[in-house]
Amino acid sequence: MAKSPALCATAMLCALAGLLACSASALAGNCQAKLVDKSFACTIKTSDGTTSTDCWEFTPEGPSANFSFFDAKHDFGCACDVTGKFKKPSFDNSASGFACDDGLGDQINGKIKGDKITGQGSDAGGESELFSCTVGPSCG
Amino acid sequence: MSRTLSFLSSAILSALFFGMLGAPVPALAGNCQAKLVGNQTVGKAFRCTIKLSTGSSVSDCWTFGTGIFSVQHFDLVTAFDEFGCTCGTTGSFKSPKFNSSADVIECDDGEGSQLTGTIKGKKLGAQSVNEDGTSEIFSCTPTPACG
Repeated sequence: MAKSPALCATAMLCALAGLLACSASALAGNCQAKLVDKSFACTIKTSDGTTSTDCWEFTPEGPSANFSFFDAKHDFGCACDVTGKFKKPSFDNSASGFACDDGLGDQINGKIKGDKITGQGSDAGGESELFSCTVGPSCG
Repeated sequence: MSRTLSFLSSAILSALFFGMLGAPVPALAGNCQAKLVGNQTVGKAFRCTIKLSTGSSVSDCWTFGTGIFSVQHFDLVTAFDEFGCTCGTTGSFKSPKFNSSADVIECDDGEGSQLTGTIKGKKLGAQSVNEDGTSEIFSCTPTPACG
């Protein structure tokens, strides 16, 4: 009789451990794990016809509770894209897609492809940009 | 009550901003702006359900138009916010075509929220990320007007 509560407790602990392991591996597999502590050399084409280069450094610190990046001018707060259906969304879960906002009217959304990130961005004024970045040395 | 007021103010703001301040910004033929706004000042409206990463769910009403933020393209007014928008870029990196996507919209409110949406037939789906890392997912269906 005394064994039953012990077995129950063990089973509950195992279930809890399983859940924790599950959520840790989901976080480990999201885009954040692939970007944080990396720097990227970026080429940016803007809708005004100009082309520029920049260095983007992704960090766990910054305006976002998840991860952030800073370029030559601003800090952007980021999250991985939502996956799953509208009925059952998984937030901050995509392994490759992410979006960021600088709080000053600029936003980007990107995709990780191996050692590269590509994507597009826009500002509140309607200007847009296309970027292509390759992992590189620290921006500092 | 505050939601009702919010919707009312949204409708008033939409009419005021789009109707009085905004001159129509011509859309490129076939791009997302042509579908959402056309060559009008006040375009299509959508009733949206929003799920937040914080676990809550809210409803909203969106009106697209021209003449607020995006001096070049179009805008989105919701019950809670106003965004400047452009259509997504198509083509390759070597030869990009800006503001040309027929289905993808990119918006920013200038205060820490961005939104990427996709037109799917008459419906609109979207995701949003905020500067603080919170995010939202949207499901929107057409409505005659907000307010």
